[in-house]
Amino acid sequence: MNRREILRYTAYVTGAAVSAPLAATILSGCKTDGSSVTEKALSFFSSDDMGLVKKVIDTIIPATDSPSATDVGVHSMIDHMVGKVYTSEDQKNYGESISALLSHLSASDDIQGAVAALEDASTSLPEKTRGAYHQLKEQTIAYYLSSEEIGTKYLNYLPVPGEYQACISVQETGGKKWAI
Amino acid sequence: MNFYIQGENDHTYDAIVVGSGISGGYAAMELCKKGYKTLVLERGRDQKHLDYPTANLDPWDIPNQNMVTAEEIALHYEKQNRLSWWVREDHKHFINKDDEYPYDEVARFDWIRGHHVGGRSIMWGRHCYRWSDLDFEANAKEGIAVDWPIRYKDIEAWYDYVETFVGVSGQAEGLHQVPDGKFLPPFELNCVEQHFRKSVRSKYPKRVITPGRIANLTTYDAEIHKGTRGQCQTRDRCVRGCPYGAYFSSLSATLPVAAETGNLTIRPDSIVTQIVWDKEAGKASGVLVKDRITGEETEYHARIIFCNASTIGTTAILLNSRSEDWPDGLGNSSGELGHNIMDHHYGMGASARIEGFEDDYYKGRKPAGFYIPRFRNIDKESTRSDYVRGFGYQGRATRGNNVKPGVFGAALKEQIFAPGEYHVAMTCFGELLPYHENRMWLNFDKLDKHGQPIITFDAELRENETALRKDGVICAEEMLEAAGFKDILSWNEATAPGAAIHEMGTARMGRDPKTSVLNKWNQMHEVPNVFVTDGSCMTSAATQNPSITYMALTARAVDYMDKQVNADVL
Repeated sequence: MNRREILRYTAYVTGAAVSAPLAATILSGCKTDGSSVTEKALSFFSSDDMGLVKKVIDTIIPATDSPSATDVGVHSMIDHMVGKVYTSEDQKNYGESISALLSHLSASDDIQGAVAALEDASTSLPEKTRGAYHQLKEQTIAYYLSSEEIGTKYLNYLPVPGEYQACISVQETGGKKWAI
Repeated sequence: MNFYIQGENDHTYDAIVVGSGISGGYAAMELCKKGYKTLVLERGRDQKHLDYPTANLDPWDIPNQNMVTAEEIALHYEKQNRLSWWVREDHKHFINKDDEYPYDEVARFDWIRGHHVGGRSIMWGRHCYRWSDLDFEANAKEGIAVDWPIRYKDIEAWYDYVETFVGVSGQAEGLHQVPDGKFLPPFELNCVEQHFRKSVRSKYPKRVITPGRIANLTTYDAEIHKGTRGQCQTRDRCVRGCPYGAYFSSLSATLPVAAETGNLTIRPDSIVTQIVWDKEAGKASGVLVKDRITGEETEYHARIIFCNASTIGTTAILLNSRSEDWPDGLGNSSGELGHNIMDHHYGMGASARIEGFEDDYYKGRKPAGFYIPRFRNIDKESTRSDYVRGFGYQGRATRGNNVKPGVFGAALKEQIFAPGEYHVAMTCFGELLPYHENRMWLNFDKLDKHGQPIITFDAELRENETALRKDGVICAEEMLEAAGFKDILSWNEATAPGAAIHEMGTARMGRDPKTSVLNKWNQMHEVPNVFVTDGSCMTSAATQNPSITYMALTARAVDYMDKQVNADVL
C-alpha cells in the first residue's frame, strides 16, 4: 500500500474535501457512560495480536489527563477498517506489514523501549517494520482525533461555524485544532 | 406539486421536461414562470428538499470513517468506486448502484450519476466559471470538429441572468479567458493561499490564484434567491444536501419556484423511453414513459419538449426514438448523435508542505478552495507547440494533524491537539477535444431490467491530452516552488473519460444540420419542438466546470422558444 492509499482510509491529509469520521456503531462497544466495555468480535486481528496492538497504540497515545487510544476505541476502529473496509489487496499488504511489526514487538518485553527505537531513525531496523509502525501510528492518530470524545471535549468543536474567517490567530482557538 | 396524475387531460401539457437535474430544473422554472403547464419526468425516486438524512451527522456518527465496506462496494459500486474519492457513506444514497444500472465499456468510462428528483444538482461540485470566446472560437480557429454556432456575446446576458438567481460567490479578476460574473462576496483565500497567490503572480503574472467561484450563498437576499434558500454556514457538507438551502440545487431553488406558479407537475419513477414522432405534423407529439416500479407504459403529449436527462441519458433517449423516418434515432440525419463525447480529464496535480504560518489559522469550513484559470494558449505569448487548448486547477491549503517524527506518548499528546502544518493540494482539469471516434451507443441486443437497450461507451484520451497533462503537472510544480513550499509531490494518473463527471457533447450544437444535431438555440435542426439544453449540446469542452453554462443556455433556449410560440412558429 502506498502512502496515498493509506490516506484514503485515514483521511489524514489536507487538500481534499473529506472529513475524518469515526463510526458510532463501531464505538458502540466502548464506554460512554463508564460502564464496562463489551468487546466486539474481531474482524481482522487475532485476539493475541489485538492484545499487542492495544499495547502499542496506548504507548503511542497513553492515558494522561485525556483518554488513551484504546479508551476511545481506536483499536476496534483499526480492526474494523482493515477487516471490513480495506480492499482484499490492501488488506493483504497491511497484513504482511503489520505481521512484521507485531513479530518484531512480540520478541520484546519492553514495548516502551521498542516503540522508542522505532521512532528513533538512527536505530537500525528493517524498513518494512518501521514502515508498518508509522502506518499504525498514523491510523491511531487519525482515528483518535476523529472520535467523539476527543472531538467534542479536547478539540474545538464547532458543527455550524456560520461565518467564514480566512485568517485568524491560533490564539483565538486556544491553540487547539478544529475538531471537524 | 402533483405526483399521481390520472385521466386523459392530465396526459397533455404545454411542455414536458425530461429530467429534474440542474438544467431540467432550470428549464422547468423558466417554462412555469412563462405560464406553460409543465410536466417534469424524473426516472429516479422522489427526493424532497430537507430530506437529507446525513446532513447533520458529525464524523463520529458516520460508519467506517465515511468509507463504504469492501463487501458493499463489491455488491453495488464497483464501477462507481473506480473514482476512488466518490463512493462514501455520507452520500451513497445519492449514487446509482451498478447492479441496478448496468452499462458496458469498450474502453473504461466512469459514468457517475444518481437517479432521484434533483439529480446531480444535489451532489454537484458547485464551481461556476464563464466560458469566453477563447472557448467558443477554438474549434473554428483550429479546424477541430465543428464551429460553435454562438459566441460570448450571445450568452453573456444569460450568464448575468442565471448567476444572479443561482448566487455565485467569487472574486472579479478581469481575465478575458474566464470572464467575471455577477458575484456575491468570495470565500476569501486563507493566509497561505494569499501568500501562494502573491508569490505565483510575481513570478508568473498570468497565473491567477482566485477564490473558487461557487454556487454557495455568502450573502442571502430573499428577493433574489427565491425558493428555499439561506446563508451558507460554512459546514462543507454540501454533498449530503444542505438543510439551509445554502447552495443551489433543483430542490432548493428552481423546482420550488416552478411549483409556486401552480404550473408544475413532477412525476418521479418515470423513465422516458422514447420521444414520439408525429410524421404528419413533422414534429414530436410527446414522450413514452415506463413506470419504474409498475412497468406501466403511458404516453404524455406536449407542444414543447425539453431534453434534460443528462448528456448520456438524453442521447440514449434520442437514439432509442427510432421510427421509419428516423432509423438511427430522432433528428439524427447527421449521424453525430452519441459521438464526440467529452469530459474533463484530471488525476494530475501536485501537493506540498508549507513551513511557517504557525500562528495563522481559519475559522469555518469553506466549501471550496482556490481556482487557477487557464493560462496556456490564451494569447500569442502563451502559445504551445505541443498541444492545443489548456487546463485549470482547483486546490486548497489547510492545516493537517500535528505529527512530528520521533515523538510518541505524553509528548505526542501535547502536539496532536494543536493544528499541524499547512499543506496544499491542487488538481488539474484539462480540456478533452471532441473526437468523432469517442462515442456511446445503444446495444439493442442487450436490455436492462426495464427492457431498455444497454449503453456502451468507447472513448479515450489521445495525444493532445497526454501532452497537455505533462505540462499541467510541470506548471503545478513550478507554482508550488515559486511560493517556497516544501516536499513537492506530483502525480499524473490518467483517469478514464467520465471521471470528472462533466460528460458532454453527444448531441452537439452547430451551424450545419449535416454535421450537428442542434442549432444555435439548442433546438433540434430536424425536430423543431424538441430542445436539448443539458451537457449533450456542447460543441467543445473548454476547461471550466460546465453547469452554469448549461443553465445559461437553458434560460436562453426557453426565452427563444417562448417567442417562437408567441409568433405561432412553434
